[in-house]
Parts: sequence; structure tokens; C-alpha cells
Amino acid sequence: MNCEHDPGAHSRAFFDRFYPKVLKDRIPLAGGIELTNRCNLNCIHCYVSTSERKGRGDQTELSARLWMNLIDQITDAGCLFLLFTGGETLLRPDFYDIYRHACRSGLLVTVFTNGTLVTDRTIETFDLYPPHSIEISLYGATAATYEAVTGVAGSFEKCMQGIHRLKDHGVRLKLKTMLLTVNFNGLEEIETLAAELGAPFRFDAMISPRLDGDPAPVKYRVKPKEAVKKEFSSPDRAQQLHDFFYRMNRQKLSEGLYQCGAGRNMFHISPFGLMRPCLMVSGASQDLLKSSFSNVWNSSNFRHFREKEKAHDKCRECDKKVVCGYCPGFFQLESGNEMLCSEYLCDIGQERKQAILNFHEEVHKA
Amino acid sequence: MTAQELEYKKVYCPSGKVVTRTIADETILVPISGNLANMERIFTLNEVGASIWRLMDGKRSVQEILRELLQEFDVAEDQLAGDMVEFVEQLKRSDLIAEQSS
Repeated sequence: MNCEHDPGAHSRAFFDRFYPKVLKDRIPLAGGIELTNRCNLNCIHCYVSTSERKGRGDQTELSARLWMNLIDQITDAGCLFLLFTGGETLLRPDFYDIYRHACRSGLLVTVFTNGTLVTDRTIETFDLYPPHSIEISLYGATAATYEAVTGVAGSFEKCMQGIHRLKDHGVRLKLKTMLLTVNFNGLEEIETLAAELGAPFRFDAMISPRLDGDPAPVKYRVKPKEAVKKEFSSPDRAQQLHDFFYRMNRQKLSEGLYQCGAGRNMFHISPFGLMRPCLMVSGASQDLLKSSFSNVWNSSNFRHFREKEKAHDKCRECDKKVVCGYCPGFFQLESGNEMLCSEYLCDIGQERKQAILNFHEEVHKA
Repeated sequence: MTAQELEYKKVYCPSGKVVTRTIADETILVPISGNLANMERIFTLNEVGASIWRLMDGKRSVQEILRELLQEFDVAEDQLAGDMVEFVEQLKRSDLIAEQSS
């Protein structure tokens, strides 16, 4: 599972000055809101629990009014990058009211959607208030491959219609896929399709168990060696991973368990108003129906989370950590222990490091 | 009347297509609607730019803003006037401000 926040670099000089202040003052700069866990698709690898995805959970989603109130609080606290995700965001008829409110508040809004529910209203709304980005998961370049993942007949055609409508209206679109055993052979076709559509594309092989602990998605994982081979099939991707590895290995990494911005300058809110440091971490969850955003952000739960120290011994000094996808939240989901590193991620890290060293050698020979 | 003198008499206000945010002591302008090309980026202002933006309230003329800034910042009038005209031009080009009709 990819980390959901990618603020990007609008102006290197500005962000070089801005980010240290954001980190020092622990400003919640980026956040994710799951508007619903319900979805019209039935993806085999989805991290949302099956019952919640089918709308059979017993909790009540926050109303649009409550979301708008929370968005005001989030904005006041200094958030700039906001992600709407799900479930399927466009399943909520009031998505458009909530989205408009976020845009008018001066948030840079990214929307994750499966693209199958794009309507005239979607186009009108994104025309009037263009999103910072829309990200659509395109699991295959054919109905057979795509629907082997989504489990819903006709969903490929609807997704492609949605993508074309958004592209035709100039909406900035990014495409992505999870790399799974069932779409592994179709990856090049998806990449070609994305290039034809003129959309940036990325893929990710890090399949985790569902958030309720159901390990069902794990059986669709691609072997680490094969996943990394796909990554290095593109010279651009190889170069990016190579540069990242050497840049990060020159830097001193934090001693803390969590190396990312979770709980430091990032947050996540569930459809039911539970706030946590990130989607993957449920431990520090607190109910925003009982407390304000800033109270939760500054609470002892969040402070303890941020102050968790020391990674697992095996990970602490490991130079693969910068490229393995190191994530204690992932470890927790996989083994129930955030200190216990995932063998799968460890193997991915080993394969990536070797591929990076090979790439480095080839570049220097040339 | 020269072009600069004409510019000094004009009154501007934020265009309504942008929201002003202050985060970590930085003034950030977030475009929320309008030209898609503008939406690719946010605009960040330095200290003088942030003061100009704050004073550009649809009531003060460019000249009045210039006078207030001269009291706030230790800078030569010619230099500030030149910088300010250039800054106002940038804001207009980016559709971030609108001229108030008198």
C-alpha cells in the first residue's frame, strides 16, 4: 500500500524553508479523509474490511455538515494538502458539497476514485473547482484483467468512460495500479494505455492484509523478485529509485520507530470520525465527535505515537530501509507487531538494493 | 499622466479566485478556480509581498499602499515603487487581483 500523501514540490526554495518550520511546529500539513468505506467494486486486494465495503458495518458515516465543520478545524490548524479517499468517494451524493467546501477553504484537494461513477455533476464541479489531482486505479487495460481484480462485470468500461470524460475536460489525472498476481502480465499494457492517455502512472506491489486483519489480499502478492524486475524495466523508474537510495543513504535517518510524517505532520480520519496518525495505524485512534481536531492532534495518544522510539533491531541499521517500503503500520497489519519487520518488505528491499547497485554499475561502465 | 501615475491611482482587491492562507508564518495564495494552468501551483509571498497583499483590500489605491509600506519598511521609495508595480503586474497576469471600478 502506498503512502497516500505526496505533497510534491511546487517551489524547491519555498519548501526547503517551509517544511522545517512545519516539522518543528508539528503542523498537520497533510491529511486524508475517508468519506466512506462503501464501494461499488469488490477488489480482491482492498484493505477495507469486506463488511464495511458492502455497507454492512454498524457505524454511521459523518454527515456533510460534520465534515464541513471538521474541514474548518483542519484548515485552521494549518492543513494545506487534503486527500478524499474511500471506499469510493463518489458514492456519497454529498461528496460535491464537501469537496467544494474544502476547495473554498484554500485546501489543495486530491481525490482518489475508481472512476466508474463520473457524472455531469462530477465534471461541472471539477470544472468550477479544479482538484489538485485526481487519482484513478486502473487495474488492467482490458475488461478481463481489470474485472479479475474488481469482480464487477462492466466496471472496466465505466472506468474508461470516466477517465476519458475527465481527460476531455482537462482534469489533471494520475493513473495507478496495485501489482497483483492477476494483473501482473498486463502491466505493460496498462502503462501503454496510461501513456496514450497522457497520464502519469505508477504501480505498487505492497499488498497488506485488510485493516480488520483479514489476510485474504496477501495471496495476490507478486513475488519480490518479479515485482522489482517490473520496477526496473523502466529506465526512468530505475533512475529515480537509484537517486533516491543514494540521496537518502547520505542522510541521517530518525531513530524513531515511525520514519514518516504520520502523527507529525500527517493525519487520517475514518468515515466515522476516528482520527489516527495514518490509515494503517489504528492504535492512537480518537473520536472527533467527542473532541476537537486540535485536541486530538495535541493529545497524549498522538504525542506518545510521535515519540515512539527505536525501530526493530534488524531494521535500525539496515541500509535497505530507505527502499524496502519500511512501514511499522504495515508490520502491525501483517503480524500484529509494529516492531516485527515484514519478510515480504525485507525481500523487496533486498531485491531493490541489488537492482540499484547493478544499475549504478551499468551507468558507471557506460 | 504617465502610465505609472495612472497605475498608482488604481484600487485592487483579491479576485475571488484565490484563498489566502497563513501557515508556519508564510503567506500562501491558493488558487481555487479559474484558469486550470494556474491551478498547478500555489503562490508564496515574501514579507513585503504579504504586506502589499494584506493592504490590497479594494479601498486603498496603489499609491496609498506604497505610502503605508514606506512607513513599515526601511527601503528607498524608488526601489519600493518599482518593485511594487512589478508585483502588481504579476498578480494581474496571474488573475489573482481585480481592479475596483471607481
